[in-house]
Amino acid sequence: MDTKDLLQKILASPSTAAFSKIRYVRSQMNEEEQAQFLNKLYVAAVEAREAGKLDGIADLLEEWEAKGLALAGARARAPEVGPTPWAPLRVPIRRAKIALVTTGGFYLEGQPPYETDGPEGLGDWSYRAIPRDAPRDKIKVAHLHYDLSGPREDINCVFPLDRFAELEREGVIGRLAETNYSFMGYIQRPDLLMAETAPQVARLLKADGVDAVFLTST
Amino acid sequence: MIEQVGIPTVDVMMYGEMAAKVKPPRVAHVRFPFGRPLGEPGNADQQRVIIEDALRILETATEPGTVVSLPYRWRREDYALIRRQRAGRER
Repeated sequence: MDTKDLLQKILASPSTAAFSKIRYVRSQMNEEEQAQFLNKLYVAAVEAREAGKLDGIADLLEEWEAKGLALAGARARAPEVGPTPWAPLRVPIRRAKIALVTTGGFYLEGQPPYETDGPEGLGDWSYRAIPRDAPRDKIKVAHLHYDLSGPREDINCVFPLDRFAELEREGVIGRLAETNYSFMGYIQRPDLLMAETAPQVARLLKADGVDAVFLTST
Repeated sequence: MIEQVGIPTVDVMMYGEMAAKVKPPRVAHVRFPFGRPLGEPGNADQQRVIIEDALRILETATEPGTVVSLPYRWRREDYALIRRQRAGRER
């Protein structure tokens, strides 16, 4: 098996989601770079055993993660980033109606799931409305580009419906909105998100009288 | 988009590079390694600390493009202790 095949297998398997942050080594780099990564990882492992500490491995993984992300970022079509918009908070948090919005890929049983890669591997920019009291076993998650084991066990890792219901009960926030929203966010086409589906969700939130939005990005 | 219709937002992000590129209005940056921006399954204390910090940023940020990097360690922080300390201060 050559290096590319080996890396494909390791880095693409959902069961090795620990590699999710260095997945771009597989998808963005050429075979020579991938072989270099594996060689350096091997050397770092041997050094770690001799030195009795793992910092070298952790540093190496962070370095390659950053390299891969930089390549993916440079190649993704960047959104038209004008000046950052700004809406001041007009209602204190303790009286605010807050909605949750996430890119985590949640949908309700019965709704169509997302195209996790979509045509050209560019993902799916649609959204799903998730009611705050949806039975938790009916909330599904579909996303190829992050480790789903966390939210499958506890949705609050990514989409904190229960935590926000508690915050409401405790009076820390005014209310959790009845309707919250999930996208299946994959960074390759943020321009489509900006042009199509995000404005729809923004209008729905506005119509619902939401005072603030709590976003989680995956 | 959401900010543009007049609704303030805060975004909990794990990738600092994306925050720099996309420049959301307010960001809570966490250095957790896996796809769990708010913390580990079942760890309500951790989730609450991150959420409350992000809500604090929502309340106090004044500059578009504010990014606050939260200092917590992923697994070895005592989040229950942090919550007790906060509750103690609020009395």
